[in-house]
Amino acid sequence: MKISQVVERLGLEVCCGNCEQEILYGCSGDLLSEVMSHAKPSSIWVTVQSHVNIVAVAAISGIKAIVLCNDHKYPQETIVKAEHEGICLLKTSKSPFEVAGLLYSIGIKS
Amino acid sequence: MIKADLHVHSCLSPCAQITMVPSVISQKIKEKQMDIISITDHNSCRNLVSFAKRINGFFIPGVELTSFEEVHVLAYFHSIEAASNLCDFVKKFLPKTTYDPELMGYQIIVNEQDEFQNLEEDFLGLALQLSLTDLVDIICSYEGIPVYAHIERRFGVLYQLGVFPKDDRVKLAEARSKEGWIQGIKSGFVVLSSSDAHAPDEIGCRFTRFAIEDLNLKELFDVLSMPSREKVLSIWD
Repeated sequence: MKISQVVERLGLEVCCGNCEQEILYGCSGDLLSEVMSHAKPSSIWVTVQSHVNIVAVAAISGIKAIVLCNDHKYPQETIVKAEHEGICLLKTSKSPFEVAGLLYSIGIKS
Repeated sequence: MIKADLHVHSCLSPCAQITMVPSVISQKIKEKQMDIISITDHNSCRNLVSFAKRINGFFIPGVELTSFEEVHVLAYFHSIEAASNLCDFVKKFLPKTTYDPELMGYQIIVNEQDEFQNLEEDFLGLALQLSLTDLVDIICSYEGIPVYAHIERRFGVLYQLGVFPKDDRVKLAEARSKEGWIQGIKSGFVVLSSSDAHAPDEIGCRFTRFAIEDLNLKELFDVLSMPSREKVLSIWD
């Protein structure tokens, strides 16, 4: 599924990045070491972590898009780095639990 | 050579045993032949004065702060006043929550005679609403020395954030294991090893050796400010 389709169906806000990329899987978590060791390539990642290192973790793991939940905001540093790495940054006021459930219901599996 | 254990919790930390009082810790320092220790409670400096009085001259004021990303950062200070000023400042960034000491641990303020003075009523085990970068800013502005705590363990910077953030102001990291020590050195840090003691018997189970002739707090603080591999030796060197 294209990131843009997910954005539309979940009502997410796009902060930066190319939404025409395809994603195959989903993962969730706020511990970056955990995500690094478990996320599959071409994933969409659900988290409340916004530290700039999320971009490095995404790049290493092949994650294409990050959904920041609970109305948290990305620091400018994170957005700049994500633009450079071509990672799509999304945000929402929904909780990680709700976002993961919605992703699952539209066919994104782990 | 000076032996130092720079990460010890007192009975003020909710996760530490209530036996971590001045007389017990001072006795353990002698038993374990530590020349110097630092008391580093979670997000509070309220026991520093009592411990400084009891273990006079063998003591660096410290605190262990938790950033918004739940990364633990140690901070060391040349004076209790500087440490306390920082703690007063960051206190307003500690979220207010209902706190049950029976469930979450007692937070006891003692005097130098081990006598109960008060209970800290705000739960100290929470993350400050300050990003890691802001926290390092604040520590530096109060002339403290920031150190990434137990980098490879829970709440350590590598565990939480996967890789070290780029921040030239942090020159020291604390490792728990030889693997962590090697990782820290490879990433350009000078690496300390300390006990992170929460119980009396843990004091001194890890320590750092400083290449200093005599016990001199000012000189030790200078080494921490401008650390070098030659002067800071871990148990693995």
